Amino acid sequence: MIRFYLRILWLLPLPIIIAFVNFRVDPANLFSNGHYESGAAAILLAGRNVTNIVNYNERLLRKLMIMGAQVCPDTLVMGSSRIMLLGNTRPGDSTLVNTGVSGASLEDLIGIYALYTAKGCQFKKVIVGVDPWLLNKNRRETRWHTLAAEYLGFVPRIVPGLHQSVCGKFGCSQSSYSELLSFSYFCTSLQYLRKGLNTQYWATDSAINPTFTMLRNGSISYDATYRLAAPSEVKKRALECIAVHPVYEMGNFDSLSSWNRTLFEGFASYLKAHTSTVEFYLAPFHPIVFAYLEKNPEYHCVMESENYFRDYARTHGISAVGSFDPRRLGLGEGYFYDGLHSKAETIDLIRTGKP
Amino acid sequence: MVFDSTPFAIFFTLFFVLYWHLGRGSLSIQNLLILLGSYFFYAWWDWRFLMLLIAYSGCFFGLGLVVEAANRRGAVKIQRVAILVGLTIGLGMLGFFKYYNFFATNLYGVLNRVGFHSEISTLRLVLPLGISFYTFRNLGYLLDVNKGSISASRDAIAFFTYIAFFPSLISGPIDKAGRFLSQLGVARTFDYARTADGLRQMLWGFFKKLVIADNCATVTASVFGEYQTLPASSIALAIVLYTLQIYADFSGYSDIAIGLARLLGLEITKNFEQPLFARNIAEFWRKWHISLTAWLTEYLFTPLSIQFRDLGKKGTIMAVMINFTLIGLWHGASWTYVLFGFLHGTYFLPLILTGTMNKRFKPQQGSNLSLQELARMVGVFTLVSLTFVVFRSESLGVALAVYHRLFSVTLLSAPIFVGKKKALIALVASALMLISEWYQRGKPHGLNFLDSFRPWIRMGFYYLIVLIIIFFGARESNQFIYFQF
Repeated sequence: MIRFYLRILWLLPLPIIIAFVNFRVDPANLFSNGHYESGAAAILLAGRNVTNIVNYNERLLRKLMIMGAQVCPDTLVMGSSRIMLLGNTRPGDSTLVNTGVSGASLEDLIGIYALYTAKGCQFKKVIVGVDPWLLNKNRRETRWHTLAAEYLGFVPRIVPGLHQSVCGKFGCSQSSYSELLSFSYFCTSLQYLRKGLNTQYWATDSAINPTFTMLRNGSISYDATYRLAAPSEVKKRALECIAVHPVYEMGNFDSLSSWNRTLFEGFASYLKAHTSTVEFYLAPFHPIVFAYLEKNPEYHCVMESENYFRDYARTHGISAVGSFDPRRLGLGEGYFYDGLHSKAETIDLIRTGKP
Repeated sequence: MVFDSTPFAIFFTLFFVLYWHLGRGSLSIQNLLILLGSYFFYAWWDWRFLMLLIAYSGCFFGLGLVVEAANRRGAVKIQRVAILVGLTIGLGMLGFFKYYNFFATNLYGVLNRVGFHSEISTLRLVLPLGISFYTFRNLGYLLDVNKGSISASRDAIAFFTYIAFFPSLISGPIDKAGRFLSQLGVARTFDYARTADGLRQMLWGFFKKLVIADNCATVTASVFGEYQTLPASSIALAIVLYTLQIYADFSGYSDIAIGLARLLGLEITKNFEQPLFARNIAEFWRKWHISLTAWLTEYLFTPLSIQFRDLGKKGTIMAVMINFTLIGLWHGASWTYVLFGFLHGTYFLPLILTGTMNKRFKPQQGSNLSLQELARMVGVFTLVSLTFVVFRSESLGVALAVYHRLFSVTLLSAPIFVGKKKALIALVASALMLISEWYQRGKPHGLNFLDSFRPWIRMGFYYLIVLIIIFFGARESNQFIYFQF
């Protein structure tokens, strides 16, 4: 037994090297204790855009921005990365704030809304980007844990008595230290080392930049490579999207969870009661991705969720704009950046009903 | 908690230390620890189904005792009733969770077609993880007790451990009760050589899963997702990669499971024996998913063959077709799986008609390979790969469309697909795997050759393989394919 343990020790340098490189390079700023995000939030709150901001904790940045904001916007945009471009065609419009976060779950939406409520904000309009996965109870999403306190504090106000979300087997941990030994994080760290990439952002007044930019209204614009990709590249991205199993956030999506529906309906009716106008925005998928989801029985809930959102909106006097199905909107492949994200102009066209 | 996840690494490390220190020399503590560990492992997925697993094990433990007692007293009626109850519970649960919706939908379709407008509702059922595997383990045990080939277990802990043994709980191998229970009857002692070899086998399994299967998965998913617009050459490449993927995925899983068991001092049945080198379809099935094939051969094919023996070759054909159709259906409630099994059954027809089904080839010796042997291997690989199109397709319509697209003039054009780098990695890694397995024929796994090297060279190899996994393993984590069955 001792011999075995001694031999195992021979392998110890490997995890030590991995942990050291991951901690030192830290390409996703996991171990920066929020300094990265607070610096970016300061720039945005000063009324400027921030560019070359990469791999940051989106929830934390949203939280810092909301907490530091001096005024409440008229229009609040909430949802996932599929709605994060809404508002970037009118960066000077200070009446709108986009609070989208990648892979947003109901917990994120409620947590963000709770932050505004704590500030006493009232909105004229709330645009909620509704994605199919909002109703998937089987997705293993933990990013919302950054907003766990806000979410957990607010849920009893919208659905009294609802059994709370269980953060995970070890609670609402926000620690990233499990990534210290991550192989994939190690590879990314090495890539950053090799290519000499840096994650330092800077302030700018331009909304469109060669690097990824977050605008002062919270919307984003992609970097030039992503934005100006050739149609063949966009098609490749769409194919890559369906090449991963399960497709983004839709693993084990076997039913429209009743728990998620209860929470969603509670939140929607709270919004309706406290806001003049509520709008659901259904962001379209790239035609290749939607065709794949449509023909694959594993993803039948995507279609069912659209019907559900539409039915709910119709019966509750909420407008539902857009569709997951690009054919329904007359959108070809040219309207997209990749399998999940349509262009900012596409969002505007959909919202004005003109594609 | 999949084998390639951090929670499992933490769980198993703690479990290993606890098992060998707390349970040193104590059979009951060792078995109890494995049982508790297995239940913890299963409950991590979904604790509700743990109740089902425990109840299931309890039923068969009791039935085993009843069957044996009835057998001893010559109470044939009681014995038959107990077996019938066991089969009803086992096949009933499997049928309910796995096949109810399939049969209900098809029955509804048939009834409507012949003019009976009936209302048959389908149910939203979640398939309990591993049910196909632990059902077969339970049934096999009961049938063996019935035959008298093993005694009914009187040690509930050992029996429940056999059913729930976590390395093989989710996706097999399906161990024979006699072989496994006898190991649980003796306290395990730590054996350095066996433990080290278990770790090697696990490393080999991780290499197959993360470097080959997961890289293949990206390419195959994109090609099969967009087959209508891609040239036939892309589809042909995806078919080859899918065969490599499913082999690397499932045999990789089995290697990890076997390795884990060896770390706990237990030997479980091997599931693969280099099936990609098979020279006819019968040999392929003797080497592919061995534990399932052996189970069905013993409890289905052999009784059927005896039943149909008066019919000569026709009887053999019937037994083979039933056996393989059920192998297909075992994989899932879909006509695609049924057709997959049926096609494999038809591949046996030439062997049955020429009387060569049971012909055993001479074990391949040395590294030389005759052209005839190579042609046979390529032929079997091609035939098997073609059936995996059906296996992978969402419906028969899609499978037919893929075949239609495959056999077109674009077969000779350059393939177009997403993930060229991943395809290249997968193909190079597959070549390494096949070369290693070719030279290691008859050995338990592809890293057996390291045994003869000096420790520091071995350690160098381990580092090399881990680095290959880190740098060339797919970033996207794909679930093991056989988890769904």
